[in-house]
Amino acid sequence: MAIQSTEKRNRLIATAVLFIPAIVHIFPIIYVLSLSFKNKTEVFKYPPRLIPDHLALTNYASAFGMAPLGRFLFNSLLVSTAMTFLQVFTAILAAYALARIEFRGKKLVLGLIIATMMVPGEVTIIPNYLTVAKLNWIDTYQALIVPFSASGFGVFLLYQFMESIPKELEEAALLDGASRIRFLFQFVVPLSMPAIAAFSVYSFVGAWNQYLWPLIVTQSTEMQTVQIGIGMFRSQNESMSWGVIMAATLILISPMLLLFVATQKQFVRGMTMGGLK
Amino acid sequence: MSSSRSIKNTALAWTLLLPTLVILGLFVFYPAVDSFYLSLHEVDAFSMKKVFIGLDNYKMLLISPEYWQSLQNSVMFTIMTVVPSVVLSLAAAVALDANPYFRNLLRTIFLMPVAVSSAMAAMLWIFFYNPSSGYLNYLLELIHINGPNWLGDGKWALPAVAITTVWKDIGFNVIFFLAGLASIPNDVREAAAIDGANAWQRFWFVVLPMLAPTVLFVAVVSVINSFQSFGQIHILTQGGPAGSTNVMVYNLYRDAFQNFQTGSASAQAVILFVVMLIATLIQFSVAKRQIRS
Repeated sequence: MAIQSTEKRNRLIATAVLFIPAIVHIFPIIYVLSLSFKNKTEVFKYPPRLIPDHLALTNYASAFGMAPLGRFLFNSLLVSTAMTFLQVFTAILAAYALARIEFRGKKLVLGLIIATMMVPGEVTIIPNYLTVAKLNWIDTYQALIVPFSASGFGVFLLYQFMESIPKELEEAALLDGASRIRFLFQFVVPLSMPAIAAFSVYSFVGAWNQYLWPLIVTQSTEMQTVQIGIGMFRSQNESMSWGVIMAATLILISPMLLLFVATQKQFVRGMTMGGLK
Repeated sequence: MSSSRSIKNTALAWTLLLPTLVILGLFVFYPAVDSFYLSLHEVDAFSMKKVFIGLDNYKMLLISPEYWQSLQNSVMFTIMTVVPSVVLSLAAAVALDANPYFRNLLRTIFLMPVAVSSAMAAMLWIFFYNPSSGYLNYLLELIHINGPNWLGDGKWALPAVAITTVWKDIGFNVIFFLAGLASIPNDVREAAAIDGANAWQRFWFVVLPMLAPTVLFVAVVSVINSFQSFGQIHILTQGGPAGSTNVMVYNLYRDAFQNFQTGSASAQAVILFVVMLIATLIQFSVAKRQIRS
């Protein structure tokens, strides 16, 4: 009885204690929301007030006029979707070969694929830039997508999952080449859906948030992704109103935030699996 | 019969592996080797002609005060981000785990920055640091502290970038700590409670030891992420003022893509690779020892 009541008290304390950091944690977003309604002079008013004088959407309208925000969003969506699709597709094929087919050299291939997970992108960026430049791909969608169309981590994740599916299924069917492919897409892929879904989320978020690579391989405004496009506002801030910059930030941040709130469970599962990298 | 089937199987396996191997070969293996190759050369910025110079690029880096500063900045930045983000997210996760009220709302608030990229996180924080009108210095003034010119002051720019990074990383870490806490059986904690352990004792002697592998794992990932930080620095300070936020990756970016010193930048890439590999191996061996004891 006594244990239960202290338990209850502890929980109430936990709730109370949590609300303060929670407010601190969400404050940057609330603050930016407030700034996004302020005009050029109101932003600099001192002391600053969180409630803006007007709730006019003029800054949001100006933000769309200052930069092709729609184009940035379209580019990010296209690049992230293509990258995710290709990474998932190539990983399914490779993982199936490694997990379900016996052949010589398998251990070596698996080892090499796992080794690629240890190589950070910063280490390969100079030769990759030179390759893409040689192919005349600078400032194209290919440059943004193709170098990331396979993922060692994705192969490894799906390989582990496919290995755990009972092998008897396949042996009973006595498969040759063509029916193996059918078997892969009719049985193995549906059974691997939890891993595929988690990896897709991980891959999509990673692609959407990429910064260094799109920064160096895009040049024109039309090819920029959301992450790079926002930099335009940063560098022009002398002439631009902070309210407009903050409105643009919120516009460009909102698709991912909405996706997160709508699919929190899958989102979190994708990140936890990804973090095992 | 069986050997022809095994040949067919082998052919099929390699066909299925081909797309992955081609892409990883072209865009991971080849450039990893080529980075090392380039690091041993002086590369002309316009003709791309290469002259072999042995380890000279490395030697030049080791006597360059700018490069040493970038190393030091990276280490400082790692300490300033990893320690607070691990401690704060562990505290938040324990509280979230114990708290039965507004569970989903509070979870969502703490995890949300996971959906925010480092560049966007920087944009959310940039005006907060404004010396004359930003909210941070306003709050400091309320408690009679004269706030610095955060992003414009060599002493405060790196901590400012670190604060933004910690804010962004907490959500990611909380996810792992919540998963770790969920895997601790409830009866272990209840048994300790019945034996008279208070909440703090239960955390310190029961929960934390069982969570040790998760803590180490989160620390490893955080160290690696910190070393790779770039977007927030590019947006907030561009390495300045006076090189105070010029970390290793930023220095590499500048030398490769602004100063066009391909050879030297490649040597930096190789050093970065080795440093990160060592960090990972050290942390893993620590983790193993912790689990054994």
